Amino acid sequence: MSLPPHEALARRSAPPDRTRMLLLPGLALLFGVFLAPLGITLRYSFNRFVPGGLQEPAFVLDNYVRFILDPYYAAVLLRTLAIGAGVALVALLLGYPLAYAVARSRSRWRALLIAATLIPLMTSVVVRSYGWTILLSNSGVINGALASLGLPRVKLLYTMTGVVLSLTQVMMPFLVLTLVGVLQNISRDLEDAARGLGAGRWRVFRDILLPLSLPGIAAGSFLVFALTISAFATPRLVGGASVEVMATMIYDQVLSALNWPFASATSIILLAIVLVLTIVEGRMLRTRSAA
Amino acid sequence: MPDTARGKLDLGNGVSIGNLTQWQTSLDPSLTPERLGLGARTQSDRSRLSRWFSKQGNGYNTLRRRLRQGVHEGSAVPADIELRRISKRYGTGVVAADEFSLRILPGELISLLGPSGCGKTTMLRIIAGFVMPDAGSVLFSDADVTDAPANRRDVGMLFQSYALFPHMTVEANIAYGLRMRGVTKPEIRRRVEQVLEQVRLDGMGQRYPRQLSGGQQQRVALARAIIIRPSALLLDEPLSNLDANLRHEMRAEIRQIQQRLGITTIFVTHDQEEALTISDRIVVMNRGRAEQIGSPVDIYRTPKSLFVAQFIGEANIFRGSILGRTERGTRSFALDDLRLEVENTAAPDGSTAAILVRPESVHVFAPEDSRGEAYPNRFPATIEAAFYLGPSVSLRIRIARNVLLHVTQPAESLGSTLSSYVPRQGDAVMVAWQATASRLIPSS
Repeated sequence: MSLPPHEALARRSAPPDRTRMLLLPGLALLFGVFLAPLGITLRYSFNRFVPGGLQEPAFVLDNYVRFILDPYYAAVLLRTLAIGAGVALVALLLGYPLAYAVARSRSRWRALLIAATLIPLMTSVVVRSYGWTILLSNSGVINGALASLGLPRVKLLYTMTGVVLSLTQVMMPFLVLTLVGVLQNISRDLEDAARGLGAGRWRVFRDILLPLSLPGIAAGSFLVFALTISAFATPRLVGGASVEVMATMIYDQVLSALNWPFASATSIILLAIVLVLTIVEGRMLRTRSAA
Repeated sequence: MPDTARGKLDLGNGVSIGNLTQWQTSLDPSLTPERLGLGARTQSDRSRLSRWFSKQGNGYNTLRRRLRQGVHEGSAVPADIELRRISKRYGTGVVAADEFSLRILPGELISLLGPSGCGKTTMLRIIAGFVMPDAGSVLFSDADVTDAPANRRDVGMLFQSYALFPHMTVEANIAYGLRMRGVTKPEIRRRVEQVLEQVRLDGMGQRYPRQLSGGQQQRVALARAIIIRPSALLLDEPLSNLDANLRHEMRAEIRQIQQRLGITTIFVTHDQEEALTISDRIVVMNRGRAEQIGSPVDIYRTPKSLFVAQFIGEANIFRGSILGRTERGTRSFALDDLRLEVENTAAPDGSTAAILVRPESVHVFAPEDSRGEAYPNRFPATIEAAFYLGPSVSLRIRIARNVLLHVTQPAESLGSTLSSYVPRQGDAVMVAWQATASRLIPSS
């Protein structure tokens, strides 16, 4: 039997595909430790809470209704989102010039700047957050410095300002790294071309760098925002009980109130917000690049 | 304001051309109110103007430039550019410019030619204002602009990468320079249309750069550079990303537009053929210095150094010693056991020297051909290799044990001098050339 030549070719060029088996461990891990617990959490969020630390199986929306109706939880949610937005904004303002310097620098300077950006990532968040409590406390380094200059003390520990400040330091590397990637792809010639045509530095930034780095700005700020609104260690250590955010509230509901259904519902709400924002951001970038 | 309709210019800060007449005629007498088509102006205009001037710093130049671009329709005033003892050394120890001096005449196209790393691109970037020299000064029409930032220099630049703004349409790209100069929208539209026609891209204004071919992108870049009517046009290896046919076409086009507009132009290239075809003058650069400055013919025919001789075109370079004078007024030259006749020189007998023989100045004859006797330099030789190139034949011919000669002959003339002869490896021939075809190269 002889096959037509193209069929013979097709048959020969398709190898037995055993390499797909390599996907299994990764998929198993992803499913086992992420999707399955998530499913369980989703299921719990519809259960009914029994005071005294138990839950009974049910299919009710009580937990969601409670979250929406009680203004206390709305305040926590708003505070969390505000901190997320604040951190993303401050990190962007501080990180953009840094990312630009890294993207445009050469040789030794570049390595040094990248190291300076990455080293904080290699330290535990808990350690860094404790460090911040030392800096920010009423008798801490910052207030000590203010006092020695004859300036009034500022309450920073256990305030929103303190939380935003320390979270910015924690999150900035993510933003900087995202931006460096995008800025590196913007040829320096483009800046020179604009300069040569009469644009001052500000115009070059506004007309060339900013529009071309917008995808990086969006991706980086969104990453920081998503990481910030689910952050736990820093808000707990620097913010204490007075700056309650979604993550610390969920933690307290699980361990102190033992209200697992409500904690689950809160988690799902937080997750849904991140998910919706991801989709919106993806859409925005796609329509921009299609234009 | 109806009286500003013709040469309307907005200088910002509420100052427009209508109240400039007297000021600017005192600066440049050729710009009369009649030429500008403008009416009278008032005392308050004058005080507003002086405030504007003090804010601008370099006010006079800015004003002159804006007037020129608004008023002198069609052509720019070409600048002469002077580079005075420019030096630039990079952190890594690379010398990019070493006391480099050059005067570029108005309307001239001058090429900076040299191997990569010779400093030609650095020099262009110094002229553009993207790189600050360590020492020396840059003058545009006698005005020192060494410290002026790039955006105040009024030059148009064409980049090797084209550097088109990918997020702007062709029209927006081209209009950018005019927008920065505060030209009005209708005027911008008119001039963009005009320049698009000039570079044969009519109707492409709404496209994005990525929708264009390499040659079209190149034209957009050229249009963007010339629309501001720059006092100088700087071209940084603009043709190296194009394929051969398009390169020749664009080369001719750039030259044509440059001559029509009369723009002083500096062309950086590592391609000697490109430099020879396009330039009024060529500067051959090596290690941050000018090895030779001259017309293409000068550079090719009378190279002033070994470096230039070897860099431009194909070259046979032989080292030997100069001997006595001949009765024809030329000199004898000892190359191993061979005696050559070379052009005249004042060098003393016995001094060592290098000579240059271009491959195309050597003639190849059959050994018994009597026409060879008209040449003082003639040697029986053997062909070691022959390459047929279509219009010409490239030969490697051994004329002595240690002397190999590169020869290029028009394929046709070979056919006629040697009847139906096709050179082959191992053939015995006669090579011959004139004394004046052996040029002495000054040793540096």
